[in-house]
Amino acid sequence: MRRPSFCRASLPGLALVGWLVLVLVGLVTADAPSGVDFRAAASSSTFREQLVISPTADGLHTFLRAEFLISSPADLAHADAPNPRQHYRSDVYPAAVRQIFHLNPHLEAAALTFSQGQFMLSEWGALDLGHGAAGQAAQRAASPARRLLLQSQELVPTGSRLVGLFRPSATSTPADIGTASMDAHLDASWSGLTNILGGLFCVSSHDMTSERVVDSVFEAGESPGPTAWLLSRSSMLPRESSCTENLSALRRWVLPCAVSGEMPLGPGAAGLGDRGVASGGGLAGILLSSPHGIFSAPWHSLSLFLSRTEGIRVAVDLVVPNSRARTIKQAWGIGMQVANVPPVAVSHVSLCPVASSSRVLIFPGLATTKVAATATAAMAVPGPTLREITTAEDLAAMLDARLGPAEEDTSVEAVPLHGDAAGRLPILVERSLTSDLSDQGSGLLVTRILFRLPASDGPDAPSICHVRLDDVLPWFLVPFLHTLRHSMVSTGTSGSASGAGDAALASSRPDFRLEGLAFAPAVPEHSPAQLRIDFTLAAGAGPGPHEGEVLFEMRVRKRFIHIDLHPPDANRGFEIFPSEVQVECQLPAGHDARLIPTGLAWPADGAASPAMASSTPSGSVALRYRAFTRPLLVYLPLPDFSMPFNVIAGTSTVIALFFGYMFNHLVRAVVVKPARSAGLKARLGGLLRRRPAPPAAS
Amino acid sequence: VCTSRFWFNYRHVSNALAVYGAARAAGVPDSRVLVLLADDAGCNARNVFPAAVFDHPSLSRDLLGRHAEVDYRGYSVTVDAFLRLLTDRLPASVPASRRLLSDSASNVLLYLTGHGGDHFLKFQDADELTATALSEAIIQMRLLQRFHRLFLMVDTCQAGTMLEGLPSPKEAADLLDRAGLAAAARDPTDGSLDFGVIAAGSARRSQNSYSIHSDSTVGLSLSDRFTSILLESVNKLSPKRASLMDL
Repeated sequence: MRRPSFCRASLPGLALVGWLVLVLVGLVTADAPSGVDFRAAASSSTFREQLVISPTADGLHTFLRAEFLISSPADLAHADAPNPRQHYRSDVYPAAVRQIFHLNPHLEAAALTFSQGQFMLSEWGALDLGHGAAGQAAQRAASPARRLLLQSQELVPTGSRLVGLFRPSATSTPADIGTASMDAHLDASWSGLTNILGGLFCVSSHDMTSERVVDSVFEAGESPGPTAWLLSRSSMLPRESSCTENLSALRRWVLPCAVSGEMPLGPGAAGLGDRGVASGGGLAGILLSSPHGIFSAPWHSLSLFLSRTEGIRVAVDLVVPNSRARTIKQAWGIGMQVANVPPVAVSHVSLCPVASSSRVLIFPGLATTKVAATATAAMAVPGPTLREITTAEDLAAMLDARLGPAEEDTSVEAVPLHGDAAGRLPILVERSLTSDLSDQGSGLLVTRILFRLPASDGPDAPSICHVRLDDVLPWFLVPFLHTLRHSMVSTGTSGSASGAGDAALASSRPDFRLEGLAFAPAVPEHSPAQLRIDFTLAAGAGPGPHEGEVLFEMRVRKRFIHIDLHPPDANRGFEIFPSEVQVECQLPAGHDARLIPTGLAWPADGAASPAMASSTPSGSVALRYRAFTRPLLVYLPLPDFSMPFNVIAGTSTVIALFFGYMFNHLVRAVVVKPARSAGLKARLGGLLRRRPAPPAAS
Repeated sequence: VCTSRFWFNYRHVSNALAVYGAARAAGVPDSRVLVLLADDAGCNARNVFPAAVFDHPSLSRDLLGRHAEVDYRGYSVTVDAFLRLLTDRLPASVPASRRLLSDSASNVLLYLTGHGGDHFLKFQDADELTATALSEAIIQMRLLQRFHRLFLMVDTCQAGTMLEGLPSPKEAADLLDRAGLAAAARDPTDGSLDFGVIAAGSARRSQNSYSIHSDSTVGLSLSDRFTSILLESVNKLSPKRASLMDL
């Protein structure tokens, strides 16, 4: 029998193989040539996920917030740090975001949001982050990136908004603000950011030009840091749509586990209607698996915050009617059938393996407020429930847990937590533009601040609201600042309108004090106009609530803009940026704040500290929220878009006719041709008639 | 590319998404597909099925799905942006996902749908892509060696007129010869010069391209005949053994 060939291998050959094996082993275990310890970097970021469920103030809707936080790795804080090639799977910090910071060395932080629908502040209430007065003070002293993070947790305007914080160049000073060099620096930084975000997250970056951006300076506040001040640029696009492509970008490029466990499309599968299953991935993988559920909600928002030091925050917020919020899965539309498309099935539930914490925070409301039909005593309001999810069984049980009473349970009646129908946010804002009948090119811009303040309860329990109104008007809407007027209409408590001369209701008229007014005019075709009004409303001790409205009216003129500057659907009109109102109130304790509690502060140690609108030692309630008006649609005077064609066609016709006439008369020569001799027949005829033949026609 | 705006042009969005889906189903990754949609049909306020786009009255296939990636949308879909995309004359700041990163070995499928006419295709209801501009861009692409094969499909009224600007074999040979690409483009078997462009249109001059699959729930036509029949034919083909002649 022949011996196998390998037994005949010679010693030198075996030695060669052995050396090759040793070399390969050495290569595998050697450190990377860049000198960066990947293993240390790999474990430096943490991923936490949280779901918040909260009732709206009217008790008829449920607010849901899926929030995902990724902490920043240590090496990202420095703009000049090397960008090691990170395989995505070895670090929860997404490689795409790392590239964003690497390609934009001056970028400190950015916040991108998409929102569709109308957030009914007057009915649903305002988002409350639960900071209280102490938290609000801490916010003012926080770093710019931290303040931007807190801003991104609040209400966002309809459409899309991008805010970027940029470090100035090394040699610039605050005195350089507004100079050409600073503008060039900011333009370059902004262009880099908008292009890369446009490519990753499908936002219309090309629209975020100088005509729609607002620049400001972020003071660093009291907290020390390497940069005393940062440049801020923001842009709002009220028309931007928010759809599946935006959500899928967040899931694919930022969130770990969001696309894990799904069955890919195979050859022959028709179209994109994949019937894949969400089989894992924790909250990120399951809650975001059904775009139909998210985009069919009356209001939704997608939010992305990036920072070198404060980490990444992704949030998907929904407000859904209670009829659709029987369970968490139902609220998010998992299992929701769209037409005849089979719903996304959850074959098995598993946790996200890289999540250090998964939790669900349920604020009391419809979830736990059950009142027996015959009960007359008010029920005590329980505190929020925080549940850590540590096993797949916890997650499965949480997804299927009932959020409200069973429909078939007729012995109880679910009542909203805030049963006071008269309760309302102290400050609401509306805006309108009315054109003059005689001159459609001008109009009156009216901003109505609707207030409803409780009576103050002494010096220790004031009823006072500080309001900041920010308005950004595009350059084609020219405001006449000298026509800005404010007036107050107080309806007091009787509901009837009251003027200044009504002494009986004078005590219920709050004090209005204008704290500041700032205006920056627009530069045509370059930058918008900015108007900021700070004022205070303080209610007296008279019988409350003190109700009415403050009107700010200003005349505006609409420009007749160049034909090329109109969008393709010019007859639709132009969307004007929403007005933004920041409200900080001190109200007497016991006031129905009409808030939607949205979460807990994330302390450094990660422990939960539940807090709602907390009381200050003086017995008043600190309230802070942000509100936006609806986008305003303005019709500008339109040119006749067919005129260019008409002019070109008519002019070309005239020129052609003129040219033809002149050419014929100037260039064309008249040539007289000699007559030809008569034919044989004509000559014979002439002979017969005894006269010469007529000349032949030429 | 879907070049039409407004809700009533829903079918053009569904056409483009259907071809996108077919490409993905054939295994082409998202990084190699550029989707340009001039308007948003999925999350349009008039859509009774939010975040869903259908191309068949059975409403059984959602083209938007859960993983759609749209690269250019809304007002960014312009003639200028489209031609720059084809010829790669873009600023350095434009990200890779918005560029056509093809080279001389790439096979490119270019699908255009919308409203058109004699030698033009309408963009956004306000601008026009002429047949001349399209053919010039394709010629530039060939001379810049941005494709090995280009399959151009146009689904509009009088779409065939959009293809008339493409060079004839003699013109193509002349162009390649002057650019010094003739040697590489010559077929070794018969010596013919291959310009590398195959084009198909949905209608001839003076001929309209009609819609199909009207649905009363959505309230519109969901697809166009050419694209619908094209995709039905593609689905019947085996991806490994199919050839252009089968189509």
